Amino acid sequence: MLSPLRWIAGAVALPLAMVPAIGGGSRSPAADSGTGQPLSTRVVHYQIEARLDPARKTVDAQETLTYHNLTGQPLDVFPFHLYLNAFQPTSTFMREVRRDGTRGTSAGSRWDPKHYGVIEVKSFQVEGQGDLTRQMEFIHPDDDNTDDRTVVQVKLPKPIPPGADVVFRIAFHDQLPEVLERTGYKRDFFMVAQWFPKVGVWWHGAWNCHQFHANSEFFADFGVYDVKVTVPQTYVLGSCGDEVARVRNPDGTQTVAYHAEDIHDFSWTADPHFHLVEDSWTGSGGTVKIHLLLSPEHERQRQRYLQVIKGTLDRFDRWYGPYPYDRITLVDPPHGAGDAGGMEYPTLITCGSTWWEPKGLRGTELVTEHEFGHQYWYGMVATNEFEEAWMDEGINSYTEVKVLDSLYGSGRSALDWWGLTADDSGTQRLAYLSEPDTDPLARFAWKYLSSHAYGAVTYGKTATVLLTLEGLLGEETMRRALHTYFMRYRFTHPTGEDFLKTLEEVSGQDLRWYYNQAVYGTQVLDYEVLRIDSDRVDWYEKNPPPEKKGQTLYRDLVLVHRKGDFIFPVDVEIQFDNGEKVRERWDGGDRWVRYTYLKKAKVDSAEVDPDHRVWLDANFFNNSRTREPDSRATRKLATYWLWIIQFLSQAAAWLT
Amino acid sequence: MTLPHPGPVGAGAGLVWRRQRLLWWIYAVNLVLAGLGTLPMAMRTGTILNHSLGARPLVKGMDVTVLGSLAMHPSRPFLAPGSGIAAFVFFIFMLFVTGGVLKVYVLDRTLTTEEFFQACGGFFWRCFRLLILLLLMLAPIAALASALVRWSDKLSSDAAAAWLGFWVEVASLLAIGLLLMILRLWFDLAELHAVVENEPAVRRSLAAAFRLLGRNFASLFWLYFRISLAAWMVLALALGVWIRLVPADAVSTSFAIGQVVALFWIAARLWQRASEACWYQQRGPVPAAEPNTFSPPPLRPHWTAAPSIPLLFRRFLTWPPR
Ligand SMILES: [Zn+2]
Repeated sequence: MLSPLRWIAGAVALPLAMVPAIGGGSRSPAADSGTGQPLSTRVVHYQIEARLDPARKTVDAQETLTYHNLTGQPLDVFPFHLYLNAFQPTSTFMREVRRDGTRGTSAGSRWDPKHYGVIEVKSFQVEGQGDLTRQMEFIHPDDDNTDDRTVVQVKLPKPIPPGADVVFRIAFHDQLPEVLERTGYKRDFFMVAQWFPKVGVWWHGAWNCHQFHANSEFFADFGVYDVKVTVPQTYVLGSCGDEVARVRNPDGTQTVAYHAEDIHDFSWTADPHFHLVEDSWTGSGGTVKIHLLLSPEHERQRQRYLQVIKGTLDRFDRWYGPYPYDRITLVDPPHGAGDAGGMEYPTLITCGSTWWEPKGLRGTELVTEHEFGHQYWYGMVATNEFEEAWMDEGINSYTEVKVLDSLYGSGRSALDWWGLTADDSGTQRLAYLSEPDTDPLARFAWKYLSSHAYGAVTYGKTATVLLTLEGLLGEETMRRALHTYFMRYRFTHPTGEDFLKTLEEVSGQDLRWYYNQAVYGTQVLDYEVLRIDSDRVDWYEKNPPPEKKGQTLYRDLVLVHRKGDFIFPVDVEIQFDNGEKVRERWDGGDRWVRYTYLKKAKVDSAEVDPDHRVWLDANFFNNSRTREPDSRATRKLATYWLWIIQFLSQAAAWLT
Repeated sequence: MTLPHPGPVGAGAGLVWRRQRLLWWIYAVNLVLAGLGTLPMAMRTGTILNHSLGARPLVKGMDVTVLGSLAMHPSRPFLAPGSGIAAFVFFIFMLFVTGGVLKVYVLDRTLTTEEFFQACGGFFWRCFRLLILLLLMLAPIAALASALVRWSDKLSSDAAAAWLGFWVEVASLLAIGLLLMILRLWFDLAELHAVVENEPAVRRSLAAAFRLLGRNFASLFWLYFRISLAAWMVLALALGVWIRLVPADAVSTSFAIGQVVALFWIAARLWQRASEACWYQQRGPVPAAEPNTFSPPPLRPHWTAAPSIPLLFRRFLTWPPR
């Protein structure tokens, strides 16, 4: 996501038997692999039939989950996420929101009953083992909150042997909140996300099924989804799947069946006011259908959405690997539903725009690019967002910088409006500067100092760490490393160490020293040119000859200081007043280094990192020092400042 | 053949022009105070930037991220003290000179320094009390503005029509702006009444100004509004020219444009004051609420009765008045 979401009428429900017809209308990822094998290890198969009640804002559904026990050991305990239960005042999620705030909600906010949400499991049956509804118990693996109901666990009477399947039949009822944290309704708009009981992930020899936290996202196994949604016929729908059937029911509703393979989550959206814009893009993986569900008031942003999604598809395809799905759905939430925007689901992203947003503000483009990027860094390379949020948000923020720079030009990729400019790399670095040393990247999402620290570190600092690494390895090597990482780990759950291994393998360099500081540490990187000086060698003479450019001999001195604890090798460029430039390489191991030269020239300036590659440096201004002052920037800022004070003074004097 | 008698706005413009010493003085004070207020920020910024190659992106353009990292620099240059103090001192200065300025415009002659400051001192407490009353009256307007903003925010989020909240916000801003202009106009007239009539009781000045405004609302509001509009148009024009035509590194041109606007804004405020003074003197007698309790005093040199500066200090000591 970006800094910051009944069970069907039986008589008219389509039989699941229609699912085999699926292949006819859509390309499954497996077909692109050329092997005939599924792209992912399909651990789960969800079949859900859901009916939306737009008046009550509820969903009633029947879920059939087939779980393939590929853990290599018998399993008798199964935990399930019940994410919607986070939207209750006693949940861990709300405790954390109240303490630290989260996107769209500030700390200390009062409880708003409209934000109440719940998922009730009406019945829980296990094929061959009977009704286990009463055996369900809420657990809270991450904290001591016994009131948290976002994880439920069931113990089966008979364990499921390795390699066997177990089928769960779950009836559940959702009460959707007014939109917050990705999910809910606003007027007629519905973003139905994190809405069904979702089994945890058996990972590293144990169940990984965390509670829903204010700062965390999600983690799930790959599989197949067959979902049927019944909504009024006036509604325009979108989902994570390919539409495979649509039936108009006599009661004025419609039932739409979706099928999706090799994804790990499923969400859907419905709004009678959506304009459905259809387009397509063809890349190395084939043709991708673009469905833009546009809110009518954002009609003027239609081309911006299409332009950025095609540009992003193109860059990811060329740089990191093919997009294997045949569809991407862009949801443009209506006014007032902004909290549903800026979120990623497999093959469906929620964006965000306003009717007035001028072109140079690039908010629409940035959110769309970012959420699409998650198709790679979360959707396919499915890292654990609870435990290593930097690996989806941060790597994605880095590729966001690269793609936006490529599409809109470096230096103005985030803002180009009325003479004001900003590039995305600079905005990521600013986020990092706001919390440079509070938390390491490698920290569980809910354990950060604050909501702000979580955002600053997982997005901004990680992007800055990777931009700095790119400076070290080169842009091309970095691109190859990400390509390799994507191709190797797509449809799996890699860790930070897997990422490091790939980086080291592709670059041929030992990067542990960097990783230990940048990923696991909180050291701050800051170099400064402490002093430059040019002293005549004949300084002791009583009557030295007058200084003459090119003839007087000087002892030139440059002193560079490593202010921060982060050790990083840097270049130092010294410019002399005869036009000569000297480059030195310093490993940064000691706290300072002194360079001295005997030349018939004075030092004009010295600069650490003259190619501006070390984005992690917390202070760019002290990276250089010039002999002669240049006050143009100061005068300019002072001139603007002066006028602002004059204006404010006059505004105050209006009262007299 | 005689020229037609100019309206109060034209006459006010002429008055500002004839008594332009006032304008230049106020502008000079505004500029000097702002300059002093800028110094701490400029010194901190200079320490960071003047010997750094990292300042270059700020010379040729305005890179917001560089500006942002400057703002986040440990020495926090933009939080340097001085700016707020400068604005406050200018505010007090304007409060002090209001009486003198009005006196000059009412009499339409250049006062000696002593006369001017006597007038400033003589009317200071009246202007101060009017300021307090103005602030009290601003409180409900601020509350109304806050309620309107909350309402428009709610509409922006909840109303079925996407634009409703926006237009309600625009209408609210216009309504609040209108209220503020009317309030200022009323208090301008009250200050004028206090000076012209040498009225010590500000409540009587406010009442008289209220009656004047009520009976001549259209002409008075049009007078005030036209000049405000001119000021805003000059600002918009200057910003347009500055953004589109002035290169990012043309600091002197930027400074010149900024100063033209600052000067024009002071001139516009004085123009309003002068026009109101002209209108006041061109109008008939102040309509009395109770004819027997009010008789217009002579419009003669009032400051013979105004307190001298030492007296002003005594007034400070004996404030609040009975
Ligand atoms: Zn994200």
